[in-house]
Amino acid sequence: MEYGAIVVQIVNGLAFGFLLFVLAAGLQVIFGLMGVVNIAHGSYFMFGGYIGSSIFLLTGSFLLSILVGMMGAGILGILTEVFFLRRLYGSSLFEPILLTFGLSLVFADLGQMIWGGAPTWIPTPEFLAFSCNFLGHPFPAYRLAIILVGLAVFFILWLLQEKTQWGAIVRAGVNDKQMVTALGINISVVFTAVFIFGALLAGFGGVMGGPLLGIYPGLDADVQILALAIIAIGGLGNLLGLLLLSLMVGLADNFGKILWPNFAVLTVWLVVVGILIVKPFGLFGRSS
Amino acid sequence: MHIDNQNLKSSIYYVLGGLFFLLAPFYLPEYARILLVSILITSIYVASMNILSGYLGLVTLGHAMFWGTGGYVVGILTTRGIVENFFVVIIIGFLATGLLGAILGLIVVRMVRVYFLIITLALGQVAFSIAAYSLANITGGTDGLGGLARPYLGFAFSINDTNFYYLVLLVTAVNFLFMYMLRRSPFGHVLIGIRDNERRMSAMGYNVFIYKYTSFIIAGVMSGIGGMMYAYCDRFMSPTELGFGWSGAGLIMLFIGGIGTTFGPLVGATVYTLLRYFVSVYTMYWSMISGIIFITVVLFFRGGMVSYISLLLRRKRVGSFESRKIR
Amino acid sequence: MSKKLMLGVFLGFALIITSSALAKAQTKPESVRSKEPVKIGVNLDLTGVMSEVATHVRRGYEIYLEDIGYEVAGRKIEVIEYDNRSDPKVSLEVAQKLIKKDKVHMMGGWINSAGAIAVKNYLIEQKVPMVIFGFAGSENLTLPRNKYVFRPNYADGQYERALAHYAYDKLGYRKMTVFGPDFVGGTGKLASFTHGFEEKGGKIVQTILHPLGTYDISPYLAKLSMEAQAVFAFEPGDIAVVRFLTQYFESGLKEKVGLCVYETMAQDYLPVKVFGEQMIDTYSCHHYTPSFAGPENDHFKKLYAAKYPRDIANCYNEAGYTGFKFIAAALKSINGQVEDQESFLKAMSAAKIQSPCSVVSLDENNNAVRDFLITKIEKVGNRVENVVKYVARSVKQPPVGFTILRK
Repeated sequence: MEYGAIVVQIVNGLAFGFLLFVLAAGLQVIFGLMGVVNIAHGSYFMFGGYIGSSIFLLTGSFLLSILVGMMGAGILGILTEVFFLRRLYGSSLFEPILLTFGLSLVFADLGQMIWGGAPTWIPTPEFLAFSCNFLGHPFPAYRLAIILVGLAVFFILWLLQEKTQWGAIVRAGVNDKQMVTALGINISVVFTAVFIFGALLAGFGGVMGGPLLGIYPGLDADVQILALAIIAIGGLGNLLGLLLLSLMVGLADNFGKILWPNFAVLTVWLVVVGILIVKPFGLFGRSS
Repeated sequence: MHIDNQNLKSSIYYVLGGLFFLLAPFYLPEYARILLVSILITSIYVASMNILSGYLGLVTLGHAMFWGTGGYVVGILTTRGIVENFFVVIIIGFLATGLLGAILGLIVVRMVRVYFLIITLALGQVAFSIAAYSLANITGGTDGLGGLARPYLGFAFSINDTNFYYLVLLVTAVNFLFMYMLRRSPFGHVLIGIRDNERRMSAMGYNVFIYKYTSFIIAGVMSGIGGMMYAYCDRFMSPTELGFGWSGAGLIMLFIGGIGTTFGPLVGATVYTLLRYFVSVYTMYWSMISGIIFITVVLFFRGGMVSYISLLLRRKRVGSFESRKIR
Repeated sequence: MSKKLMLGVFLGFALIITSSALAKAQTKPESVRSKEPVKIGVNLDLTGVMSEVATHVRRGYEIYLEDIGYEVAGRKIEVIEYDNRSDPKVSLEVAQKLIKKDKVHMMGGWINSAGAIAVKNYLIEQKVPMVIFGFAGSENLTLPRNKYVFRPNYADGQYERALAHYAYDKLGYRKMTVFGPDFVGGTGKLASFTHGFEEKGGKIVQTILHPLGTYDISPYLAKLSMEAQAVFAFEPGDIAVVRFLTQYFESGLKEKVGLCVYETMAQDYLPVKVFGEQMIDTYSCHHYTPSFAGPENDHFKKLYAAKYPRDIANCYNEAGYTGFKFIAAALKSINGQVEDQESFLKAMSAAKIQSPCSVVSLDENNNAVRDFLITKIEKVGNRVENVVKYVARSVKQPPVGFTILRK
């Protein structure tokens, strides 16, 4: 492949990677803080996308699609946390995870009930629907936009984590819940807030990803599984590590498809398994 | 005298239950018999997950890969005419799944809790991709592998629907007996001990790794047996039998039925299969309903139906005893 | 422990009761049976990547049945439809349900060939006629011939060969690339085009396959070599088609290579409507196109417009319509006595009907023989639409092996 084509594919892979990052970031905080692997997280992504596509059909406004899509995902998040997960805090390690698994099944069918079995998509927003030219290879500007937006999201998350009080509380909570409670902070409020924030992020990702990935039954599982793999390797608490891993997975997936079509889907998983063999608690994790 | 009555009661139930299954082909309408075969085969699968997740407490999301491996062994061997004899195929299936378990177990058993979940998920997906894409020319890829034959037992003994049912019943019964004895064996007790408090078992001198490793292999082989019977039953294999969907379904069945119990797998398999077939007549959203039932069980019927009902019955018995004491 | 046994036994008895309650059909006397409706089971991919295709097929057969009042030769027609979720395994479960529980007289449908292949042996074994009126085009469904299997729609290879010959003869292409998804339906079509093109003397320089259902196909489009003069592409279903065209046009390939596509990609009702002028100069091959002039097509379009005024009829609707028209014709010729299976099978093989764009009959392998239309997308007045350029008459299914891709 020529140089220009390689760069185009790198952009594609990075765009996908950033979408995964947006999803994985929410998952990671929820896992770190509450010990819950939220298997329904991918459902928020998908619902955000579905709602976004409907809103777009109605209003034609991409911005509105993003906002309402995020809200929709956020509502699902609230439902999950308040009505279901809360009852299980303090029980065995696996029951919350199983609960989210059951919910993911319900959400998946709910999505089909409302939007039907056919895949749908969000058309690329007008102002971004052009092609850039790079060394003779045209590629769509929207993917570049995703990368830029993704970087912005990373930066915002990093700021929140490192520079704000909320961030400090969450970081402290990941390390030592009891201490945080002892300091007088209502930990369950923190839980809920974090959960909703994660869901909002996921919804955002779903809408942004609409023009790139489409929204279809099974999207929730597709992205969820990859995001799970990412946080498994990424361990807890390291945002930059998570970003790098997400990008790596996005690139591996993209290049895998081009170079080894028969093994495309495999490349990502082999990387995951490989890393977990060498470091059973993830690259940056520690035995908690 | 009280004890004798209990034994008599149990024996009667055993006999009734046995008769029910033994005479099924004669009184059940054909469609119901098809479902029953499906339930029996599925219960083998759920039982295998019970070993890992129920007795050992290691929740896995990739167990379908053993089921699928068993199924594909049958599929590939029979459609290509490489091996015809049922017994030989089964032995090869045993070896294949055992080997898979042995190799993967080395990697996987070291992991704990959530990481175990994720790596089993990852491996399951790898298995799925291999069957669907990488080895598609052998496995038929996403289009699936069709045209499998019924088992050929040799000696010109032909298998029709009725003797196939009995074959499945036999395999299921043997499997059930195995699980029953495993639960009560010293080995089984160690497994449960590891689930409850791994450190203590280790401190007591048990080689926890060996126990986990062996169980992993046993569970894998058992799942593979289920898969093989499935392939003979439906005579069609597709990569979905290896994937996350089927692994998740197994978990649902196990939890609804009763994790760690002996009858749980059968109950769970029954509920899930009946749900799937009958609800799907009226709506295609049976998966959602299974999810709702699952959530309900997780929230309100801790441990699954069998455990919960046993608990209720035990409480009732103890309760009446207590009230007698007070008086 | 005994409590658990009790539970097990209780469950067992519950099973007997529920299942017995469901055991319906007893054998009824002949005279009563012929007053009962003809039960046609439909096994369609209503969810999954082909779901819009399936829904359109259903629209097509529904408007036909409504037109004839759900009745033929004095007997009512009852359609029992289940969703096979584009999954071959579920297709088998659906087949079991339709045969064992609903006791249908015949079964039809299937969009993805894999679903049809999965059940073919089972239906033959159960002696239930299989009418493939969906888009399951795989060659081995009708080759070798089986008296229970009928395909009034089309087989892979029929269109593609005609289009390939046209591409060589009339368009003058000598080197082409084929592009499509990697599943039996996709490779079948690409292989047919390849063989059709090469038997004329052309050369297929590249075969690019991607997994079915991948949304982002730009990495695969990037592999296109500029050595080819044109591309033959196939994508199943609306979304895949729109996605391909979007990414194809975005990548600027339209200016560099000619575009020949399979019917589904150049449908007037969607891709042409959405992409408009960008699609001009695209060639494709159809078994149905709205612009075809003929009385049957007018009738068909009228029925469709009456129920769906804002939509344009498409080839998927036509498949359902023609499929059921064919079944109805066969039933009529034997006076509705579908229980007389031998007569029914013979009647199906011999039936001949007028579909919207062509006369349809079956060849010796029970596969359709019909005309195919080669169209070019042009601007007509102020509309962009498919214009028929050439009619390939009475095309039969190509020989064995024609649709097998050498990888």
